[in-house]
Amino acid sequence: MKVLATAIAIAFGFLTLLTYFFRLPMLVELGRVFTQWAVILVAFALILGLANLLRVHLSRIVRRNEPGMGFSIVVVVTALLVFVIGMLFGLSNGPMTWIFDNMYLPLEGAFFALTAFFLATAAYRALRARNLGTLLMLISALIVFLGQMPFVNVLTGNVTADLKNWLLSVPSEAGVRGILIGVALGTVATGLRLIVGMDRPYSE
Amino acid sequence: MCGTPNKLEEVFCSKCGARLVPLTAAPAAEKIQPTTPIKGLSLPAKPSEPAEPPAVPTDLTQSQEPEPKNWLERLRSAAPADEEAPAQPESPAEPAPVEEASETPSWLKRLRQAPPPEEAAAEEPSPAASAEEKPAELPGWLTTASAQKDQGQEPSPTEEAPGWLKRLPTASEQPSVEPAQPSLQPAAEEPISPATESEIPDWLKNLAPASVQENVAPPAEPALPQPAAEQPPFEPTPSTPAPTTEPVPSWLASIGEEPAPATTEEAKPGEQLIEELEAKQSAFEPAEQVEVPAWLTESETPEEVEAEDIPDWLRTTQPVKPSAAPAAVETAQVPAWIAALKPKTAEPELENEPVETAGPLAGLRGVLPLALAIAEPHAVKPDFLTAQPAGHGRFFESILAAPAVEAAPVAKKKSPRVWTMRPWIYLLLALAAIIPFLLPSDWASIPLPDIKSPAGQFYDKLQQLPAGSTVLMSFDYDPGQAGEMNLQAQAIVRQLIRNRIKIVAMSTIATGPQMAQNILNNATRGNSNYVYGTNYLNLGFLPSEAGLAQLVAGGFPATAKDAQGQDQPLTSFPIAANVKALRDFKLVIELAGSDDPLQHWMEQVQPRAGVPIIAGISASAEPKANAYFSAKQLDAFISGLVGAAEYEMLSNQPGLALISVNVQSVALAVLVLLIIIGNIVYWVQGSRRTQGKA
Repeated sequence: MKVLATAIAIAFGFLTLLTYFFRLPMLVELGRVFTQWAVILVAFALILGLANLLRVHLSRIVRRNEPGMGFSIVVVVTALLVFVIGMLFGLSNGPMTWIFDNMYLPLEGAFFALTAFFLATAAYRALRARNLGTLLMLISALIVFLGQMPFVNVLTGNVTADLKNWLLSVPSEAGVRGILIGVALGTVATGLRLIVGMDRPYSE
Repeated sequence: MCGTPNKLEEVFCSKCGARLVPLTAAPAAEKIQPTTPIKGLSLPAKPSEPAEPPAVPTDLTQSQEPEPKNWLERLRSAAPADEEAPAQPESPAEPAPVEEASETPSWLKRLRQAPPPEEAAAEEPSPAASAEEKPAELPGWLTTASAQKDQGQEPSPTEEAPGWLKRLPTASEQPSVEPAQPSLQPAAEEPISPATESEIPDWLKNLAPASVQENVAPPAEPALPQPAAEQPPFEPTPSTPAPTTEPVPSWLASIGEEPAPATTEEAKPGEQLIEELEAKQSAFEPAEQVEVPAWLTESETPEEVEAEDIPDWLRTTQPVKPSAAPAAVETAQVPAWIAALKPKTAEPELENEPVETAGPLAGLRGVLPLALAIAEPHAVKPDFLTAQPAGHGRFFESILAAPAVEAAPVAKKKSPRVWTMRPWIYLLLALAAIIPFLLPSDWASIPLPDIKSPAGQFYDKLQQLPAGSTVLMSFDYDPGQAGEMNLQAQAIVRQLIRNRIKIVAMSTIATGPQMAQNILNNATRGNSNYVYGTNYLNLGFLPSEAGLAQLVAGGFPATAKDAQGQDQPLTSFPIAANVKALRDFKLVIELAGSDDPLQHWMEQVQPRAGVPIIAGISASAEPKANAYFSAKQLDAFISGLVGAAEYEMLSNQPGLALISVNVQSVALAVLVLLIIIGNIVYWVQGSRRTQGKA
């Protein structure tokens, strides 16, 4: 069985890779079909995520006497309720839109807004110049913060804005490019290992 | 039988294994089995082959089986041999080879001769009395045989005597048979006449007890192996195994042949014969005084042994006399600390203890006496329950009897409140977010951005689109980032609608299509010129990179439907009639709430689609966007609230973005202030620590 899985992974990966180098009609059509299958599998992964979520919380409800059992009940009930409403009324109709606009959006926004307060507390406690590295990071953070404030830019004559632009364009961009190139090379190596069959995460 | 022909010499069939030669009595020559000779006084060895049936008493002789006759027949057939017929060894493995002397020693001959009748009569009463007392012990064949021998008759084989004995040759015959183990062969009664001194071998002379001459108890003879001829005659018993088919030695045969002494008395029993032999032996008078070595007599001490009698090898191993006691060793002076380590002997306490007299511990001191309760039952004292406990029991009772007193409540020490900055930080940040909303929106006076700035280039790109062209907008952000990204999306959509640009919306995030629909509905509310399906369309969800790869490779699938769920394919919509692939779009606008969707578009779409891409990103993705912008993979981008505010200013549609920027600026100012205060506090505390250490 492991041999079969490895053979399938190698064959499909190699054929898909060939479609990027050769514009043969058969290869193009084959690549398109494989890509459609991948889209279906990725979309199906969302259903699996929902199923796993229900399984975890249902097991917590069944075991009882566990901390957070009440929240698990809310999660399961809400998920099933929204699922049923979506299946019955569709995604773009009234009930689903109302739930999304009046429940999901505000809750998600409020949760995201709390991070600002946590960020402020962390900045007060962590952004301290203990050594040279932290000092440089502190100075960079202050420059970016000041460059994000338009009235400060006006007050400083766009000095802070220019500093911020330079900071983001030169040192920061250099670091980001290095990360991008490294990630790309690692992705190529990992892909080749999967195509060749050296790595078999699907069969372990 | 299978009928397979086999060779004559075959005993078993070569095919079926059946026996071809019937089982018959083996010839005499085949049945002679060599047996190991008996050494000295050892017990007779059990023959490997089933032995002949043992010699049974007279009353059981009828059940006896006939003995093999080969050697007996030979005995009978052979001419009477001399008494000195050679005794041939039975087997080469005999450790005690039989004497090959052809002549029976004269002393043996004399021993065979019957004692005088007077002596025999004198000895008879006791053995006769014993015989009368134990008539059943002596087999009848022996008694009859001896009687017949006395009479000079040959024992009849038809009598009750064992077959082998019946077939023994008569005295006139001197069969030359192979010597057999004399211990296995029942010897017939044969009076033994004393031999002359010259005929007695030296070794036998030496063995003659000196006490015989000195009237001293004979010493214990060493258990030396005796030659076969010297062994005493075997006394047959019912339990002994029957003699084998080995040939009877000549001397034994002659013993049975010689006539018994002329006596009318009945045959002497075996015991009587032995006694006679012993008497004759005791009556034997050696010609010379045999010098018995001193070491052979027990009464002699080693010191009395003459040196000449002790062999050299024995002389050297004489026991060494114990030497005198060694001189007393001087005791060394032992240090006190070592002396303290010396294990103590019995404690002085135990010395006063009585000594145990019974039981396994008898003789020991300090043994605990057995409790009387074990030895005998005892009744429980009636006052056991009411008896006053002693010691700790009384103390425990006093505690229980004491009235319960409630313990005084321990005053909880109020822990000092720890003063922290967290609540002040939260308060400051909340004030920084609320107060600016109460102020006029233009109090921050944001300057107009430069046209060469990224926001300016973004605005230019949108402005360069011809009217009626179609753009693709990807809403790739979560509701959590909607506070920042919705402002960008609304400004862009409003600009596009103003310029009559057709918008096709999609998303690579599951919640993106609904976000896009909200933006489009808000932007087109009250605008009847913008109709869904004609001017704008929502394609729905495409799963991340795989969906983008499919979009690039094959365009929109023919069976795809929009996000509104209308049951009609995309091609049925007018806006999608002329759009089948990405190349048909004039511009792609990516709204990325993080750097991952932007990276997916840059990696999957931009190199292969050949369509310009501009992006509206969150402030957190600005570093990555700068990299793509610098590489000219990204034509333009706007970042965060500031970018939205700049675009609103450029598009001359001030909105919530400008107000949000003011609020954000104040919050950022508070944050900077907190960072500075935190560092000051840290430095001050650090200096105090160093001063304290100093």
